[in-house]
Amino acid sequence: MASAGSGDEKAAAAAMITLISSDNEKFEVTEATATLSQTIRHMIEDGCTDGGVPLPNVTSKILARVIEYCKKHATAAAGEEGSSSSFSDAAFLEVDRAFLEELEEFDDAFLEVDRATLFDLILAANYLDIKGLLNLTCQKVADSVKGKTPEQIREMYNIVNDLTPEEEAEIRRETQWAFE
Amino acid sequence: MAPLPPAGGRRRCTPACKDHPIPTAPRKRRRRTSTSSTPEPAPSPPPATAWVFPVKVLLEIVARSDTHTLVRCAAVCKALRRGILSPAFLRRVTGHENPADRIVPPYLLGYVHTYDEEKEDEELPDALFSMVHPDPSPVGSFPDKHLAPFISRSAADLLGVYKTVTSRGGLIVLERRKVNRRRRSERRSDMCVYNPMTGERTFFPYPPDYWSHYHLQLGAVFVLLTAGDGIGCAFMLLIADLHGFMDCSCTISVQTMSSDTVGTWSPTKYVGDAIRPWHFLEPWRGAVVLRGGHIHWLAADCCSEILTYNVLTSKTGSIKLPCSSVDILHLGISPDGRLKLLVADKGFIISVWLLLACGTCWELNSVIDMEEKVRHLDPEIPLPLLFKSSGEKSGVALLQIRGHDRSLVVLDVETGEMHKIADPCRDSLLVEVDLLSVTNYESLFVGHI
Repeated sequence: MASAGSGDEKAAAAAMITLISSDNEKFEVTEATATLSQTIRHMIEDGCTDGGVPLPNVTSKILARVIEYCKKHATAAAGEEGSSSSFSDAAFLEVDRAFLEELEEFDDAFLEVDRATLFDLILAANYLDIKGLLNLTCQKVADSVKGKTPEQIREMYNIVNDLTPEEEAEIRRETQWAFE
Repeated sequence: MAPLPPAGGRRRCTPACKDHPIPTAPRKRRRRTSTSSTPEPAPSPPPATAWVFPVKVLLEIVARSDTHTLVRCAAVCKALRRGILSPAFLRRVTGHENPADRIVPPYLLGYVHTYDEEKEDEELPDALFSMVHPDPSPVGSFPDKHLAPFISRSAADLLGVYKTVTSRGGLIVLERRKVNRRRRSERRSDMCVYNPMTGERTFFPYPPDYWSHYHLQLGAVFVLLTAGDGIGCAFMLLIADLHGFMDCSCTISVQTMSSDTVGTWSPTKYVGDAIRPWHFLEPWRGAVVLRGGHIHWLAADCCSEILTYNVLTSKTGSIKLPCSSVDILHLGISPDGRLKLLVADKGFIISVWLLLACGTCWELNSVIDMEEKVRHLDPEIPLPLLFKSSGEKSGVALLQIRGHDRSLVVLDVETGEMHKIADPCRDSLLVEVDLLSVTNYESLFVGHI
């Protein structure tokens, strides 16, 4: 058990976690990186990460990208924490801004992926419960949904229209302003 | 059942292409023709890629879009519609829990304009709906882009023949500009309840003895109650004869008509006792209705009071005001559903009072000194300002500038922010749509699904 004693807890700070993708590839990550995922954080808290964490819903290709994101953001978070105690206010603000800018650039570059990857990243972020990544990817998709018709939205997301023609006509009639 | 395949079914095949949209099921729309739960046979060939997001993920995407997209997404499929219409999601997107999440303004406050289409020199208004922007952010701009053009297009016929009577809860009561009083037998359309969000109209006649019986000089004797007031129907129109105030008989008579019995007015009901004579209702200030059909009228005479009437219990009552100032008063409803009284002292200090649960005592909630802000807005504006109207729930008051009939000052009572707008000079009525209320969304999107 990772939380058995204080000595163990110290060791846990630098502990490595093994994540196993759906195609059986293994990824070693620090606990700080892994715990950006609430799902994994809970597993660690419950002490059931021995022997690796199998992630049957995430392929190695996507998991590699997710880890890339988590590493960057975990470093940024740690850097911010450290800076607050060791820099003067002005320097802290400077560093803070530099961090934010760097993160923003990273996020922008991170989103430069094809749609298939983006959609898979969303599913992975949802499954692993990584707030920042879910927000980032969903925002990107939301921007592309704006102005689309219900029919186009169904096509984009493979959603089957289970509204009867009558129901659909009624909805359109009631919210005509949104459909013109 | 939800149309989305279960979580297990959402694995994908190889992404077929990078630059093309995801191949999907054949474009032909396939719908179930009835409520039959048997799905149609799978389309062939099966789609090359089949990402299907769980509803939870789709909602995460919708929550980051805008009002217009949200309404369209609610027409995509049943599961997504249910998710969007759930109270928790609506609270989230209206910024109830975190203002940063707001993509839908909680209130729309705007003017509906009418005109006389028979008058030759009557100029057609540019738009039949114009916003009073309590929220100048991009979130608040959707009505200008989508709603105003829709109303102008869809209601030009109606708003050219009818004029406004009163409005509450997003619905508007209209009456014909030119009523043929002799016409008896035909289907009557003297009045209309109009929903500007949906374009829906319900026509009905005046009460049978309207012209002979009702004391029309007293002005706005109509009170509109809506589903949000907890009256169990889409709307109820009440007409009150306040003659008793003038002749000391201490009674008022009321008639009602609900959306369930359109066209049929209830028999006249006399209520009184609690009412003291010689109150004078402020006719241009509409009644405020608290949940449960509790109507509040502001009455101002030597002893200032609020008159109350409950449409469900037929009980009357009165509430003493917390101050003796009778010049500038205004009623509203606080975000937590309590009666709110705005009192303007000297015309630039506004006190906000809230009625306590006991129903007789008031607490002073806040005091806003507008003088400096008004000076900042425009040093030329002469004080004091006059209350013109206010949103019942949005906490936005419209103040008239003495001697200036071209512009109004819009004051957000919650934040103290103010700005100037052009005074709609033609026949117009302030309309407030409470977007936070789930009942409004139900009517907005049609329930039952």
